[in-house]
Amino acid sequence: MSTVQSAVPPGDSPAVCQYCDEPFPTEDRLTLHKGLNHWPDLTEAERTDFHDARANERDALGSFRLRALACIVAVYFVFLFLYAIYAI
Amino acid sequence: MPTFGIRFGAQVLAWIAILTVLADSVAAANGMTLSKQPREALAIPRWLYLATGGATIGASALLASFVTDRAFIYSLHSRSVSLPRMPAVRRWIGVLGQTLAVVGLCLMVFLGYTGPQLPSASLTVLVTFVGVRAGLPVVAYLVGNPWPALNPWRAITTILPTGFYEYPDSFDRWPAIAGILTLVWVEVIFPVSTVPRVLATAILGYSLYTIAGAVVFGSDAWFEHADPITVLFRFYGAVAPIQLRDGSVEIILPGSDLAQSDVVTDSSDIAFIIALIWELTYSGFITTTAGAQTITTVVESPLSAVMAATPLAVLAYTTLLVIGYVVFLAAYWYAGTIARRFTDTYVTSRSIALRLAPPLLAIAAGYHLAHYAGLLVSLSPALTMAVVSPLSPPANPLVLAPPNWFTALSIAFVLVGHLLAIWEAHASAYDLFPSRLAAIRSQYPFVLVMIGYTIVSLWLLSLPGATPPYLG
Repeated sequence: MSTVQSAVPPGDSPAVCQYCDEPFPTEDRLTLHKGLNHWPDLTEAERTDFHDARANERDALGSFRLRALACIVAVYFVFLFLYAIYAI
Repeated sequence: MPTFGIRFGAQVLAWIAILTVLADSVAAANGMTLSKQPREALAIPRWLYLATGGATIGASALLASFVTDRAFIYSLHSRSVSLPRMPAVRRWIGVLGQTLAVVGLCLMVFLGYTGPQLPSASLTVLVTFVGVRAGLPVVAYLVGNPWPALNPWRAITTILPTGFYEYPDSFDRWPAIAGILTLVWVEVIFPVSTVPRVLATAILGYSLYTIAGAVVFGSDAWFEHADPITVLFRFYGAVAPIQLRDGSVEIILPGSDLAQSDVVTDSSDIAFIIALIWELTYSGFITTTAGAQTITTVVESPLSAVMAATPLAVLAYTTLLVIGYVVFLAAYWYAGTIARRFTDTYVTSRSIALRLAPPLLAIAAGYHLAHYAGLLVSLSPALTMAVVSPLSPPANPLVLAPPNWFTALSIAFVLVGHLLAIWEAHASAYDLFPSRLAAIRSQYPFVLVMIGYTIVSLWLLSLPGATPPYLG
């Protein structure tokens, strides 16, 4: 089993997980990590934080999905026209 | 649940789009063959055919990013059925397989020297190239790794004193990478696939090398790290639906072990997987007109004043093998560095590269099937006849001609391999990053590399075949 290695650039102040010492660049990611990997150990407040972070993440994913769908539609139509013009 | 409905609807729409693109690219490929005869012209420009292949991969990566439910991904990857253990049956299969393999190995070397010097009637050539080079890897990635039950060299080392030195940890799997590249080099440079006597000598040399290695470093360490053939089968076997875990046989969804973190544990494993992809691309390239032209250009350049044609050609083949491998490896490694920058994470680029490397095995499996399916089908009757009567093979064995749609099939194999790789990389990234957006972003550079690999291999499939020049 390979363990994931991390390297913190000098001068950064990482958010460190108190259960496994893994550093994260933002509080949000730390909250998500704790919820996913240390759920049974969490306090009630931490669990609420996790749910909030999940909700934020869900919103961000929703907008990402829209953009991804736009890309797919664009690719589809670009190829439709390319084939209409070049395929003999 | 309305959100589920929307999600499901979007996925159905997206899949329809992707299948349309896929059907287009397969239709575009009709009318080509893998043989060395002139092919019919493409109905669409080549750049459009290549762009479609690349776009298929890119669009499917976008599609994979629609699957954001961790629980769903996890449940797909942990689905498995355990088979009864039956240790006695497995032990007997191993004993029987290894005995047959040792007898087969001796017979192959013997018949290589004494048998007919005709490749399509020689047991040595047919078993090596149709059986071990083409057939067994297919079994390894479609069914399960058969090599531990066959490995004749390992069987031989069980009766020898082994383990005089400890295998140095710092070597990792680098000797296997050197080994696999050397095997490919020998396959290209020497007439091993046409002259049984040369092949028998090569098999003898390889046997001496690998048995000596196992005697010096101990059988377990040697075959786990340094023997290129065993390592190759272990990696191809990681794609298979049948896996051996802690002594029990389990059936899983094909490829779902590729998202596990224990398949690739060291940088040398990444290098080996890239070597698998590169060797198939390389042997594809040198058997096309573009490859032949490249070599001819080098040999007819002013350099020919310094060296004779054949050594210069050998030098050109070798340089191409090494440089191409370094480029493929560097592209993957650089993708790891970029992925780290994109995701703004503290996870090292080495860790990212390690976690996203196993899915590449699906790509290698797809290439292998695309490359060897035709050979396997056309020469399997000859192989069967040579195995049934090894001492008096028919002088004029049956060789099947694969139908034309086989080329379309090989393009489909390349694409399916990439699609599986995209999906498994998605699952690996979800496992690695707590933030799902970071996980999606981390895949962009790897998807670009995969698009590059796809375009190269589809380009090779579209080129007319040629015999590599200047090699006896």
